[in-house]
Amino acid sequence: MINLHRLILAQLCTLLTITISPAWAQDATALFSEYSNRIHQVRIIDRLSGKQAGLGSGFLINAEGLLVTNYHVVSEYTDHPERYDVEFVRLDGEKGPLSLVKVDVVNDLALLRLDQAPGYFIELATTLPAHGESIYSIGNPHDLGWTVVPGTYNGITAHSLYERIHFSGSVNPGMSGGPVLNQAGQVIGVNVATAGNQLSFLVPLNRLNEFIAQPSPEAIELESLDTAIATQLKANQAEVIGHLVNSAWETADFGDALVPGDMAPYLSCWGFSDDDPEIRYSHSATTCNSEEQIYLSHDFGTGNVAYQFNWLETNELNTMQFYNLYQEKISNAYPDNDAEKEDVTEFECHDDFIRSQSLSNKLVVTKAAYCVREYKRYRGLYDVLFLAASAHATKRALISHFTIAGVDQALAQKFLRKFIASVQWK
Amino acid sequence: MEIVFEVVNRAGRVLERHRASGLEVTIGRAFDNALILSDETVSPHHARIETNAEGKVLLCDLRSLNGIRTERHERVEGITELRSGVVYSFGRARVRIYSTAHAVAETVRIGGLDWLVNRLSSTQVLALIMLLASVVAITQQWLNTYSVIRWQQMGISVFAVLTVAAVIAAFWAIVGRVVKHEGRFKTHLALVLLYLLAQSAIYFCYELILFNSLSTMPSAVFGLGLSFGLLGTLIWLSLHVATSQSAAQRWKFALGATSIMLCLSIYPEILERTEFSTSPDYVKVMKPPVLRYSQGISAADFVEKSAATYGQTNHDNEI
Repeated sequence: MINLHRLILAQLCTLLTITISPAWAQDATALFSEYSNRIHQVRIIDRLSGKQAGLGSGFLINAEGLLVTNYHVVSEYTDHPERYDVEFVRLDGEKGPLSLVKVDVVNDLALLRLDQAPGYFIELATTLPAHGESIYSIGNPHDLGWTVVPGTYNGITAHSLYERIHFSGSVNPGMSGGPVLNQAGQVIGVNVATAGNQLSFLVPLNRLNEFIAQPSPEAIELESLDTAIATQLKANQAEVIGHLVNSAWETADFGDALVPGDMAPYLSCWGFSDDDPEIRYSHSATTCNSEEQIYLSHDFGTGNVAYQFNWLETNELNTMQFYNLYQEKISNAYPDNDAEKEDVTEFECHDDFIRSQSLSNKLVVTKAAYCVREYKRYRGLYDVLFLAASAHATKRALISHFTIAGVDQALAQKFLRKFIASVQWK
Repeated sequence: MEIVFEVVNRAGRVLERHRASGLEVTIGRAFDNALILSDETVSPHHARIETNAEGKVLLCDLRSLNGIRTERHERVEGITELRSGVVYSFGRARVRIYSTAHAVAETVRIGGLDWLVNRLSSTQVLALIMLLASVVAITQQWLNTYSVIRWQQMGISVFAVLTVAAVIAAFWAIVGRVVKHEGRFKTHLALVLLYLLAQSAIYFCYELILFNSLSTMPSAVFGLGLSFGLLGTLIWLSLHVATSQSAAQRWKFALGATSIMLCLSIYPEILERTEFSTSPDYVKVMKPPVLRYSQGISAADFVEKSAATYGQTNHDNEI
């Protein structure tokens, strides 16, 4: 008798599983077929050749024909509007022009408008999903056709500088700008980046809402686009760097000195020690990096912060050997962001020796260099780089370094002052 | 009458010297002449030198096919007065003719330069210099080795220095052999090794000045200036040993060669500076505390001075 009950229960369970799985898969397909005409491919067309120069995805958000996509999908157009056109391609093949309304480079969003508003659109959700809930990313990966990528909502990334949703599903290039829908078919995010292997990042709903809520002109004036972007970048760095400058930095022991530890939760720090058995000195380092950049164009990124400390000491080398080694170690300071000749000036540097007192009142002399380069299209914003190398000890040395991309003069100077003051010999 | 003939090439170098005496002296390709010139453009009996009743020395053209020309390409017609020290062309053959009374220049005393150069060619001195160069090369390599030292590898720098010096010295020895028929390889080797030692001393001083001043321009000017002087001296000395140029020629040649070599060596640097670069150009030298005399400025002063850099960025990106 008991065995029979067990048997029936097992049968029932199997039946249930069989019915649920295809339903889950059917959900995705059903979802897609319902919204397929509200999601478009966004293409950048090179005027001279008539061929596509870039593509991504986008989706309609209101009855007036407004379409959301990523800024990086249309950045070639915003950089050189005279060379490109933007157009949409619908699932049924219909094409049409798109005009730019506004952009948000910090959140990698752009708003465009269709000439003829089709009247339908996708609703935005009012709340974010629950942790673990199924969500669906939609787009056109590698220009291969429309795809629904199901995945799981895993919350806003912990320790993220620019808030992103952590999505375990594979968003592919070409899907950028496409919507991410909850089970009710409402937008909870926008595809923006992939870290490969079932790990992707999405712009969350609240950022999208803020973007859409900002006043939009009828059509953007391209001449004022640079000013608008500069304003966004300055506001963003005022917040990020301003927060860094005004917060208290924890200190850490490092060699014979005290140096800043973790300055902020969104900075990821790594330690390193040279364990080559043949070297006759010891070298250890800590590096901290914000790891996220704001995309401005294919070769130009901004918005990241990085700092590094290196400790060198020796018992086996003589002073001259140690300083020859030391010279090699200070010769490789670089900015962390990519930039080209059209984007930035060359670095201008100021070198000097700084004298100070250690915590035990001994003389400390440091060779310091501070270098600056300005953004050409966004005047008043700079990439800055600082490198300090202790010069008073014969067989021990501390190298301190920081670099910030996209910061204004006032905040950069404050950060420099604070950084120098926070490195102290014991 | 006694006449001295110098058969010269187009550069003025003496190929043969003959003396002839007699009432008359003949010049031509035939073997019964006092001066036999074997160039095919010389007639068998080309010219004759004789004294007339007043004792003047005359040069006569014996109806040669290609004639006689002076240095200024003027043709000698028939008979002309012979001028001592002048180069006459018989056809293509060039001959400078002197009377035995022709005055010679003052004797030159052997100078300190020659004394120095002779000292350098002695084997003991050369061995000493080679030893010094080897010691300096090994020391430099040792000061730049931060991992476990393998003595077999230490020999590399000595080998490199001696090879480079030998190649350059061989070049000058070949020049000397061609021009003066003497190579003097040992002298040149000593000169090149001394140059290399002096050049590395200059480079060390340049780095020291760069480290203490923390400004690229003055140290570069100092370094390049001294290097120019040193290289010029080496080339000038090498020319003195290897060739028989006059002092004026040697100066011009040395100056020219040094300028060209220096331009070639800084050309890549200049090219690099004209191209756009994303790497910052701060001073990348570090020397021990004992070699530093600056005590530094305060941190506040540093931050203030750094503020000037923001306005110095060059938006044109051209030099």
